[in-house]
Amino acid sequence: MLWPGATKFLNSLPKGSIVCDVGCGDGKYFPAIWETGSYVIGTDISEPLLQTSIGACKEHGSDDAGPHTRLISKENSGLNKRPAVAVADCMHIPIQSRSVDAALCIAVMHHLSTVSRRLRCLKELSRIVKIGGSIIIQAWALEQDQDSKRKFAGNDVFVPFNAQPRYLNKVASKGDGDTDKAKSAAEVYSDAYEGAEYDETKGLVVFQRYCHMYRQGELETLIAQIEELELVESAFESGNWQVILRVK
Amino acid sequence: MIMSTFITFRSVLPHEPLPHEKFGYVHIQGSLTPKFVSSNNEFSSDQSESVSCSNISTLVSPENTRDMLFRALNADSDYLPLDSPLLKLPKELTSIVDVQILDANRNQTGDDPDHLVQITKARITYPSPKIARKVVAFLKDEQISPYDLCHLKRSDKTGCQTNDYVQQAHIYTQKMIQSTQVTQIPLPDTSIAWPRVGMPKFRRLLPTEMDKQNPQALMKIQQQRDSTRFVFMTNILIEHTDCPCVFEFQDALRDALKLHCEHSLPVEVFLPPKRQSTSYKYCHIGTRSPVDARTLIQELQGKTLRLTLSDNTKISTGPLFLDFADVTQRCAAQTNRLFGKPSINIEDQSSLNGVGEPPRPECTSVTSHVHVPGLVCVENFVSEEEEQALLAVLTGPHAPWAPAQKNFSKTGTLKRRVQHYGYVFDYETADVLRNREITETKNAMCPPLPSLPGGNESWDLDELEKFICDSVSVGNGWDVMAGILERVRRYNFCSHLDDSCRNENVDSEMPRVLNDVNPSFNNVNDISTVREVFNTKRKFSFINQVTVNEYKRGQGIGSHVDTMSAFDDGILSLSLSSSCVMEFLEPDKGFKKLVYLPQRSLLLMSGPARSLWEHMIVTRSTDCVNGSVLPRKTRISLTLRTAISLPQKDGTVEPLPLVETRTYPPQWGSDEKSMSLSSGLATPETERNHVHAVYDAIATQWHHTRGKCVAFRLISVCGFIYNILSSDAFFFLCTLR
Repeated sequence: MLWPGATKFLNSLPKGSIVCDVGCGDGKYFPAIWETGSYVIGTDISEPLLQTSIGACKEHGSDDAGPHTRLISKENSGLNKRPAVAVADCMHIPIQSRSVDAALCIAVMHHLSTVSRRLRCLKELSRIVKIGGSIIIQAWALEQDQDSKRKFAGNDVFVPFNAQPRYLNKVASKGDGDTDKAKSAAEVYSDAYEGAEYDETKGLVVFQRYCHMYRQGELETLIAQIEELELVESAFESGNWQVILRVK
Repeated sequence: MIMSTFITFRSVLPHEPLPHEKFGYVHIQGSLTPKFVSSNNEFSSDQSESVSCSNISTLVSPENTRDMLFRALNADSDYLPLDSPLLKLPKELTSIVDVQILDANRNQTGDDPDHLVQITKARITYPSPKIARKVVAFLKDEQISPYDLCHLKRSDKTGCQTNDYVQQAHIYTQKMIQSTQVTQIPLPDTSIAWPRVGMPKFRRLLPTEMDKQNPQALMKIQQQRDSTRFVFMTNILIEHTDCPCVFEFQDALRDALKLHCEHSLPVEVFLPPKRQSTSYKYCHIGTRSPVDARTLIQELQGKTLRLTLSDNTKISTGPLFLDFADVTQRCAAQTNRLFGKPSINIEDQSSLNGVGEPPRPECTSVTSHVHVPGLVCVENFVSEEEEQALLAVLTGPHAPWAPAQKNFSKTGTLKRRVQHYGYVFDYETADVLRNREITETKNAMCPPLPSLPGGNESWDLDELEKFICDSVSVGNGWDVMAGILERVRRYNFCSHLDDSCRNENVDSEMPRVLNDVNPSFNNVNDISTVREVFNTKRKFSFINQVTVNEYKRGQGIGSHVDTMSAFDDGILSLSLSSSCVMEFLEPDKGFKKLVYLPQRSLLLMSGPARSLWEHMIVTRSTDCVNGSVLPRKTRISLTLRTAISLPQKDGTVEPLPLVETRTYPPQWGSDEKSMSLSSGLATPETERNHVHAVYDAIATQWHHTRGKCVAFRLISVCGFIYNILSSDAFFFLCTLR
């Protein structure tokens, strides 16, 4: 799902804005950005994820068009024949300084494992956005709602992701060809994907994602260390902290 | 009616025949109380009709809700709006006997509007089970929501004419209610009834090509065919026959089949989930006994059946084909597990275990008479919350797992993952590395132990417990670990050890020092005195080394005594995340003791238990504790020990100094190393393996399964904005790649 706070932010941008989506993943927010009449440049470190973002923007009816909820209206379809995306680390965003009107950084900061990297990411965001431009950052919160299914015992945690084997390309492609029956399913997956474990009872491959859960005020403390950034708004939204910043 | 609250109800399972009961009961579940909207909230026009004003306490009172349900389900046209789907209720379904609000009791505090409890469950009683079943079908077909049931036209009397109360707009949800038929009759024994809501999976009992070669296999299948109570039946509807509703069809089939069975309980009918375009082709029948199954097949093979639906229309089946079937072995095993049939024989048991394991672990009860002096197990030494906090640190992203280490045999490497805090235990030499400098050159990871703020000594016990509690609630696992370590150091094993010694004749002959102060280490010089002194030791306050072992399911550890010259008396072991059975062996006399270590327990090995008895964990996937088989999970064990110096000139040993830190993640080694670990910008290993690699691997699934319907609504909003501004020309950005 898209975060209501983020879509509200996008709607607040003047039409024709250039938005940089840092850590865009599969381009989940692209349709939303295009629909508001803005342009998007997406960057992400994961090339396979970016590939899906390109696939999703193909014509209506195409097989790999992705969830139909991500499709945008016919009138706007000209915009998105192929989205502007680049494989990049959020430590070094391949964009000129002060060149975009706004930046989106959704669900990225919680994957950075050291304070210096978190600060560097904020610095990069403040560098690429023009003076007066705005940035929205959203990251996972340690404080979860009472009824949330997730509860975190500490700041730095592994959050399991249950992958269905049919989606895992590495194994599926090897598949039936060489029927290596001596290997159990568990071995096949742990060989193909380091750190992944096969859950026999559920038939799922469990990956461990590193996440840093931000405490209340932690993001704000980091932001205070970057001179160019000014905090406009901070909010809590379904287990996530969300801040809106202005570049001074 | 008050009595009936004590009677337990269960839902009537879909394949089950109608219960023989006087009344029929329907449970409905949904938000039967309105949501109140503060007046300043905006509403678009299409929603506004469901917003009306009323007096809060009337609306949420159980009496009122009961009244409304009664009127709505009686299709009372005086109260229902003209377009209400409930007006379609057939007349014979409007004979309600009683309506009960099931969560009315929780709603006692109804006077204070801020503490109104939602009413969500009601039970409606009908004159017969058949009517109840039809009502359920109706409520499902028409997708009746609380809005339909409770949003009634109000007469002036019940309306909002009095101004004594605050009046607020309210709205009933339009989400469909859940309705289930329930019964008071308990489900029969699982050997003659399928106990679950879900459909079982069936298999035909036919020999494969391979089985045909093997007379034993053929015999086995014949036995299964003789003992099954399930029957496969196909060609039950001729093509192009109009497909009747599931309930009706099931009932009609049951009525027709009943004539062929001698047992009083009607048969179960399992219809496969229907796809829209096709009609039912086959079904499975659950009779109550293998005898019934056999007669059913004999009498109906090749025949056609005439079915009478409830509205007296008649349909006939095609020429039927029937054969023996059974639920799949997996289904049967699951059912046995869920409904507690302890019929697992040894043969099945082996499937629980890994390959090559003996079929059944030795039970702890076999050795219950054996006593190991100096062995104490304190159950629930840490709480579940504390356990979670500890595991978050010890198995989390910053956990300093040691690089693969050579083991004692010098040929292999240690199979399990370990972490060492304070001092490294070198498995190659089976000794503790006393010099932390050497540790570094050996490229071993050796983080310091966690410490309490302001030094460990300054805390009294109450403060300590409060500190642990606070650290758990803020999710600071490192502090929790510091607190738990200190709790172990302060823990007085006095009462446990006195018990232990009382039972042990040998020990009682030994001299015992009764004062309970921390013993001095200076007079420790040979094993015999070690034993004497340590038999009196009640506290282990010099713990300075922690080893974390990860035992995956099926892993164990060979029989050993912890190196005497490396560690002082008192080896403690905290079991997290799984229980296990540890084996203690006394090599001289050949005694053996199996000790169950529950999850979150602390084990103390002191005196003879530490120095004479060897301990081990058998490599297996299950343990047997007092007769019940417990599967193991991944167990994280914390071994807490006191590393000691080499003997000095006078032969005395001292505990090594405590190496502690408050910073987390802990840093160690040279500055350079810690710099690269904490402040460099290079992508850390953790992110490379646990962020980048993960997203690369799961990209396809991530894309296809994330992004549900929320975006749809958004597009309609955005589309609106877009339309206003649509005349502008667009420019295209070049792609960056």
